[in-house]
Amino acid sequence: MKTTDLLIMCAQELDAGTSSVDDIVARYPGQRSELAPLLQLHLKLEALPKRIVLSEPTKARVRAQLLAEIRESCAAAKPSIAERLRSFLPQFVGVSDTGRYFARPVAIALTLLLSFGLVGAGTVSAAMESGPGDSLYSLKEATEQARVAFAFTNTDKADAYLWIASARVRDISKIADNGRLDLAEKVVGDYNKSLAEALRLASVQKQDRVKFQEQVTSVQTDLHGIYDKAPQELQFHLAQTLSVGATAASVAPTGVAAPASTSVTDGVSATGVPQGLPVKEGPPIDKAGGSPEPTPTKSSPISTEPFQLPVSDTLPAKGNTGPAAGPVPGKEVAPAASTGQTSGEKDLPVSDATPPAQDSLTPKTGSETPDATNSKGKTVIQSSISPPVGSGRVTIKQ
Amino acid sequence: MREKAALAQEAEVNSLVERSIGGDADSFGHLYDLYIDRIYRHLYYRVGNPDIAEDLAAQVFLNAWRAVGRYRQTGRPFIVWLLSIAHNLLVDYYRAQKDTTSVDDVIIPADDSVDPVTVAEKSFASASLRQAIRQLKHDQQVVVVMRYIDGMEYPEIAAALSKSEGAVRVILHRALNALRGIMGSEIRELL
Repeated sequence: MKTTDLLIMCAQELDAGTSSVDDIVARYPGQRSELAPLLQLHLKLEALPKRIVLSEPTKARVRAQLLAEIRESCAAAKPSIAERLRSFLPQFVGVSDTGRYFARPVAIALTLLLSFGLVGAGTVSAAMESGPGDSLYSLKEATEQARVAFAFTNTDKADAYLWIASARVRDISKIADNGRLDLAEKVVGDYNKSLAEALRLASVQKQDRVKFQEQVTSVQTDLHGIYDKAPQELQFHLAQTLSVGATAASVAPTGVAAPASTSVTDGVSATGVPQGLPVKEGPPIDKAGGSPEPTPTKSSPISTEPFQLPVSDTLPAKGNTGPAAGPVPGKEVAPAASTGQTSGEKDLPVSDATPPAQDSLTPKTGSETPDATNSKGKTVIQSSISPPVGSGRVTIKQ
Repeated sequence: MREKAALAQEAEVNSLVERSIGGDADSFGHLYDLYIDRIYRHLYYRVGNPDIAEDLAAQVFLNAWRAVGRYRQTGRPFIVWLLSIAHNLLVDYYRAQKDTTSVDDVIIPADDSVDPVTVAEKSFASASLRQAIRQLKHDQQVVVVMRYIDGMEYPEIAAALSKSEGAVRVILHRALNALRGIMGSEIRELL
């Protein structure tokens, strides 16, 4: 028998407790000098501490960092189909006017191909029921963009964007239920963009105004209903959105009936109400264009008064992604930020709705067990099996 | 009974793996909960520094997430797959740290003994042994840690390292001889 096989066999006997080292070397006296020290070493190795584990807080912290990095990498690595199309098309058709002219038909063709040719109507149907974070969600977004691409009048486009905004409200409800709050910012942002586009386009449409107004009011009321039941982090995003809506209402174009009053509610900004949904009590808005001065009250922010659509003969400038439809001519209004918030919002208290602190990715300090290392950074005897927290990340090449 | 529990856990792990492959980060979080201790312990014994072991453990799971789509259940247990990632990561780590890694940074965890002298003696003995392990060649080191710390059987080690069982046994034999040489007179005192 080879020495290796003999050693392994004898080690297994030791592990099973059927023999001692002395028993074994007595059986193999010719190999005593080699076997004895190796078997003793084997026993010492078996006796090495195996309860070395991370402490529970450290484990939880590493877990949170890991999942945050995973979700971040997922978001960065998986652009939606619509985004892929958008990034792909300019390369395909160039940036000339001619290229832009052909971009839409190409987009429609590709989207249709994706939606019906490759994946089938059944999959598209399933995608439309998907929520943020689901594998089919990108297809849902692409299908929505296809509807916009097929709308050739401002009226149809406004309807399409409002339909998308309504879908985002349902998505927000889903993430409130399933806890995917990491997606809240994106979904709420998409809602803002869609509603802003709908309102911008609707301001020049000439028909079905009443019906459209009712639909906008319905969407915003649904969103407000979600706010009441949403987790705090989601409420934070929604409070900003609802603030934008109310602020936008206060600077609405000619023809808009600005909210008659406003108030502060629990954890929501003073204007934390949907656009066109005035509150019951509070000081009147300065119709001359000044920002309303919120007075803290505890009244309900919801009113059943319907949303009133802006009236304008010119298409408001694109780029204001908030629901605001544009400044009132002749009125002094603070410029809207690219996020859809007006500068006046800084005066609106939202501090109660601050999201919970995220587990930081900042370098570790090792302060949890300061006695664990000496001045040279070498570790000395610990009083606990759980080792100290590290002092810095190690970047490993893939 | 024990086999039933093992089978149930295997089924649970397979399910979590499948869901992770489908992009479910929470399921991957459960896999982390199941295996972080073993991965950390393995890395701790390999690098001898809890801070680096912690960072590397996190990196193992991050790499595993990125590669989980390529994981196929061909009878290779998930933990074995994770340990092979840890091994590859350590190879890269040692390559990057070739000229700067110190073997003196010894960690000595305490045990349950209340006698400080015994604790110190045991700690010193095991610390010497751990330090000696880290002076082994990489292939010897990983086999020793997988066998004695991770408690893996020879077929599992062979699968993790893509070697034959016979090769793993030979490596272990050479590792024990190397340890005997590294520890020199110290081992005679220990024995």
